[in-house]
Amino acid sequence: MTLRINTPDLDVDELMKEVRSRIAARKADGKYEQYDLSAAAALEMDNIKIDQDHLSQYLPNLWRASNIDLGDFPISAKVPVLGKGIVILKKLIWKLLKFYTWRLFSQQKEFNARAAVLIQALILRYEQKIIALEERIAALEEEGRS
Amino acid sequence: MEKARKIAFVCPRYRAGSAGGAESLVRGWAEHLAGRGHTCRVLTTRARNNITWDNELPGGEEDLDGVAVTRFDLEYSPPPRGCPQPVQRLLETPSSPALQEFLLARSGEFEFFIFAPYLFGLTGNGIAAVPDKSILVPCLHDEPGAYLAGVRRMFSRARAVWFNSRPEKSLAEKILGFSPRGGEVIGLGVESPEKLDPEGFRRKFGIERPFILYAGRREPGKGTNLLLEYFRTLLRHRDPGIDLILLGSGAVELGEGEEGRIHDLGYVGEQDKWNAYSAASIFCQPSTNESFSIVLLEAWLAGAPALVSAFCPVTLDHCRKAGGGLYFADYPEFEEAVTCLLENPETARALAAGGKSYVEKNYRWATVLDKLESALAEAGEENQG
Repeated sequence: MTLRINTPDLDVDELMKEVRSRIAARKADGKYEQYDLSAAAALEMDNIKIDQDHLSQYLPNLWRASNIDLGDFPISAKVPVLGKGIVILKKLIWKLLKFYTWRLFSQQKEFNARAAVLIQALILRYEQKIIALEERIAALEEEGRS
Repeated sequence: MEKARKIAFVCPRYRAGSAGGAESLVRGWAEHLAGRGHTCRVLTTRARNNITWDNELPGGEEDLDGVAVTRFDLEYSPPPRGCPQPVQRLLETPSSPALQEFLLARSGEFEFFIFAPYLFGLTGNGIAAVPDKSILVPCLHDEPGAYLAGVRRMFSRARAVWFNSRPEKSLAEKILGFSPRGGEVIGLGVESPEKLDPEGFRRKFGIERPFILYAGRREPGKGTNLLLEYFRTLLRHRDPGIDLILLGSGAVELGEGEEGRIHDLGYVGEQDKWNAYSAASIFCQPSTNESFSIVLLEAWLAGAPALVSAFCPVTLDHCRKAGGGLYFADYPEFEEAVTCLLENPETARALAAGGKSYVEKNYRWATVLDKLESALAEAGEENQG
């Protein structure tokens, strides 16, 4: 990727737009799907603060992460000669395990989705409540002045 | 020169090994103000370690580079093993009754007492003892302790409150609900050594590949663990042939086989640190809790482009104003930003040049000291008025 430099004073936000468009293209190609970001996600929690900008960024990530794909996936092996046998073995293991792991994982997935929705709903509810309270305070202050 | 003033600085640790931001600021201000003919005294404690707060250093007085330093005994009772410090206690501890007595008995000898940082018993008690002469340099972060009622009292009692950056001042106004008196934004001066030797650094520490540099304390709040995890993920999925070098104090746990790509050099001397900045392909500041970030400005002055957390208003503001680096909010942004900087050396050089010029314009000692003297003059006028 080549970043464009158009001005003597670099606009960092413009550069970041280009970085993000590159990320969007890689996401569309499914490049990040194989990444295990669970450890990083736990550490990112340190960055979360009670701030609207952070919440609006974090909530879609939470929703995406809660939506675990439980479906079948292509099983392959890179070994040239024994590859076919390894694939058959892996498929067999997957089928043997699936009958009970699917139940566990689907329950976890349902919990994740409900928790994510609940968090979003609570935030919305408290935002509305805060707005109503702020309006009430402003009205009372106005009454007090007049 | 401005009128020569008698100033006392109060901080929990001073020249006690590895220095945090507030300690570096106090040292920089005290030594440079002394260099301009002001009389500076530092009132501090015998502590070296900011976890145990043991009285390790000898007490009494000494002269360090033109600054008189007095070390007092401190009192600190750590929380039980494994228990976190209750937030309220952060405002009460560590404390030093001996230092407090000194403030009460000899306040007439000084025109100003400058306290830094805010979240210590020394600062809260000290400001309560000499409110009319106190200047608070909070080095404020968005952390639970900042929301305590005692912090509001401390900020409202102080004669003046000075900040290191505009975002820090905005944060204070947001948390406190009022604008503290004074409100000047000053910061710290940055000077590099006369000669930087990037190749010498590579030779000395056996570094062959380009590298991302982190310099600072390794603590959860500083984002070191997040940087390590992001770097490991980068190596696993899209290794761009770059290493990670960590400088500073604190423990880092490296996995098996990581030593070849992650170099924990620990605490190194000043010249080595500056050589590392000058050799770095990217300087990364992952911390979300900064009131100034001296290391970021040092790295820019040495010619490194920066990569900072999108969640730190202070470093993000520096980056935007300087045009000195990129930022990341999550792993994909980290990966792409690193890759882009490595694949586009012209952009990386332009960012590094933007950062350098920003530091030279705003954070040379002469500029900072002019601001500092003018803020002192203003506080002095308020004192008389």
